[in-house]
Amino acid sequence: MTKRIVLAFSVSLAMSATIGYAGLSRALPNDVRAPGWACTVTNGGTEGQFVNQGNQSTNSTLQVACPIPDVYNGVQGISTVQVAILDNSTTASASASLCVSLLTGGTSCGAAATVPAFVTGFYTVNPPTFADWTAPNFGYALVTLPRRIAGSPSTTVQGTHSF
Amino acid sequence: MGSRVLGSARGPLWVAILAGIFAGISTSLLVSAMLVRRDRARSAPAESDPPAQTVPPADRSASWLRDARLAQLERRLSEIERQPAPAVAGGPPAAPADGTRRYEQEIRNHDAEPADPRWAPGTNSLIETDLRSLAASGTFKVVGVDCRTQLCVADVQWPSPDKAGAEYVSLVHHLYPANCPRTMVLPPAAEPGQPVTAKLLFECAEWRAAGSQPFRLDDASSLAN
Repeated sequence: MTKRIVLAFSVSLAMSATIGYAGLSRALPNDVRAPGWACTVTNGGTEGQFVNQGNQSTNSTLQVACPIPDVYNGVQGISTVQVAILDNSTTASASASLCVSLLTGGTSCGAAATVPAFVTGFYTVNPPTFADWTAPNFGYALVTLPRRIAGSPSTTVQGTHSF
Repeated sequence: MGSRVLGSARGPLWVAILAGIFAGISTSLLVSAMLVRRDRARSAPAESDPPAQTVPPADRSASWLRDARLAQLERRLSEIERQPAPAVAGGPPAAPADGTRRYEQEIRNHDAEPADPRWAPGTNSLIETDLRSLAASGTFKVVGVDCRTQLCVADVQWPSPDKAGAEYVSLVHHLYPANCPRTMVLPPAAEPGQPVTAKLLFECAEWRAAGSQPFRLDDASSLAN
């Protein structure tokens, strides 16, 4: 009986210590979601063009910057950013890339990833990280929204999921 | 009666399991706290360390999470703070931090890279065409584009620092057919009204390895300006 008690104590100690340590130090902090409402217009677009997370213009494409909140150890703790897009354009695609404002000045962007031309509706774009996606820099997703087709709803950025 | 006997026999087992879980959680908190303390000791200069704070027992687990995050951030910050201060007149040149330093190194790598005649002219043309079209609606001019083997540098010039500051991010944000990571850092502030020349760096190793297919977004060229 004593052996069983010692065994039960040891097993539960080992399991809870492992799960507890892994959970506390690794899993919890690096999973963040943010809505498309957090995005702001960039590159000469007008705030009035970005309505309800979408590009209302029927004339021009719009770029918006969506902040990636890094809550632990800088953006380097985030290896994947998923940008949720509702693509309502039948003639053009939305795209997204990751960018950083360098801590000491300057800007850097990674390669762009795009919604495939044949896709209409919800799609998740996974832009790749790049060399400057490191702790001191401040990350954001640069989303390019195609112009709205007259008579159709706009293409919208629903939000970002970073982990 | 039988089950009561069985239940009382299992009692110590449950106590052992609960004690084990409690001890496990305590151990994980203790080990984590020790790691945090070790990180702090490694990273923070002794004289600049804030005094340790006493944590009430009830707040220990929450405070541990805070400490772990703070320790990591402090370590990163202390690395940056250890960089020399910005240059002052007559002083030694400053070593720029992280991203800026990497950018300058990549510019030097570009200068040392040979030009691949099978890849460089085509990529030059892809980048330069887009830059010249952007220049038509901006205040900058394209001095030149120079692609080598996997790195390209575009030299652009603005008439003044304020124009450069207002427009340079657009050049980085633009979606080029050469779908490469790109970086621009403006040089130290020039005199007001003096022209500013800056380098837009394209790091194309992955794009080239993937076949150098031009990236096209149907109506990207109609960006609002």
